[in-house]
Amino acid sequence: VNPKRDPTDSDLLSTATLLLGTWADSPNRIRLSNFLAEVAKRAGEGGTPVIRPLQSSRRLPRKLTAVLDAVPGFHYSLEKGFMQWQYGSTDSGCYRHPCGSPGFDDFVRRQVQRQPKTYDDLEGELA
Amino acid sequence: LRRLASKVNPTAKTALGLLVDRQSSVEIYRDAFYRLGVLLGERVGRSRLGKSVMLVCTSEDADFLARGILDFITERTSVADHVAFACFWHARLTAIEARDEQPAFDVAPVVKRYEEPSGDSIDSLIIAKSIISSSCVVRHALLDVIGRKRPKRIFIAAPVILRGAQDRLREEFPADIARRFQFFYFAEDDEKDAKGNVSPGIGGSVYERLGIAEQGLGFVPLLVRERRSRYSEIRQ
Repeated sequence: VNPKRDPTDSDLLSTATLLLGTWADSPNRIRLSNFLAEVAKRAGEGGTPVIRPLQSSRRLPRKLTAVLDAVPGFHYSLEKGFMQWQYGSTDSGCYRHPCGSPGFDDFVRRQVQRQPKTYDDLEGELA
Repeated sequence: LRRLASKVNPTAKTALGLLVDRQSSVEIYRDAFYRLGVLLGERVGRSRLGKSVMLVCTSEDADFLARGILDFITERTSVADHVAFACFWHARLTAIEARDEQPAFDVAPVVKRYEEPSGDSIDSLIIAKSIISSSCVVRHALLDVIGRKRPKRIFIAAPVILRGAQDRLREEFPADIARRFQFFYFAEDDEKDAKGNVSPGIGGSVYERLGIAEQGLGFVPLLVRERRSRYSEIRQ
């Protein structure tokens, strides 16, 4: 099972709107690095696998994969800094905090503590 | 001011009143949404749905509004041999900050989904939403599904809409898609309160009134759990 999915039109609209919106809200002259940092900030919790975070981990923490591997039928991969996942033929998603961000670290900490054993245990944590 | 749609029956009027009434308990509020869902299902069910139908909603609308629509369509019509149910969880991001008189412009990508399998194309797509105001979530749900499923007909069902929301949503899509839209609603309001909620609308924040505000995006509807479990049994 490969949980990676192509961006939908909704992802592409989100990305284009975030880029244009950040541009419209920027002062007349802005350093590219500042512009990109502002885009990343606005996209920070979006889980749109189109904008790669400026800084993100290249692999998921081992302590998280050990927990996720114990959940039967749950598959995941790291795509452009975001964790994409799939369960069975009905459930899928992209965790909205990029890997390595404080929000993602909180997610890791919670799962290590909770030790979910089934998808039902894990599901409420995935959005 | 509130303008009721034509031929709104007394049951719908009563349910709309219960949504607006701040004294309504969580249970009464939930039940009112279920009843409105059944009534919207009845209206949608009178249309030609075809053989393949997909019903899409957000997590907060699944257990009551969407369940009502689903119950009516699956139990009391014979037009749909199979209804694929989908529930989306949307993140909410501010793409353009509020400035002067202009409100902020949000985007709402889908970050999590429960979606029952359906073919590469479907006859009808039904989007169920408790209220349509900025249309942000509805726009993203439509964008997510239309490209993948190419629905011939698109039904957008909400008990209450903000005046002008239909035209604004149509303007966001190419004409050949916008002309497939058919809206079903019972009341049209034209005001918003200080918090930005449509007034009287559905009586404030739907998350708070349904009693799921604390769970936020972590809320998993019972309908999703039931359908998934039934679906897994059928597949085995």
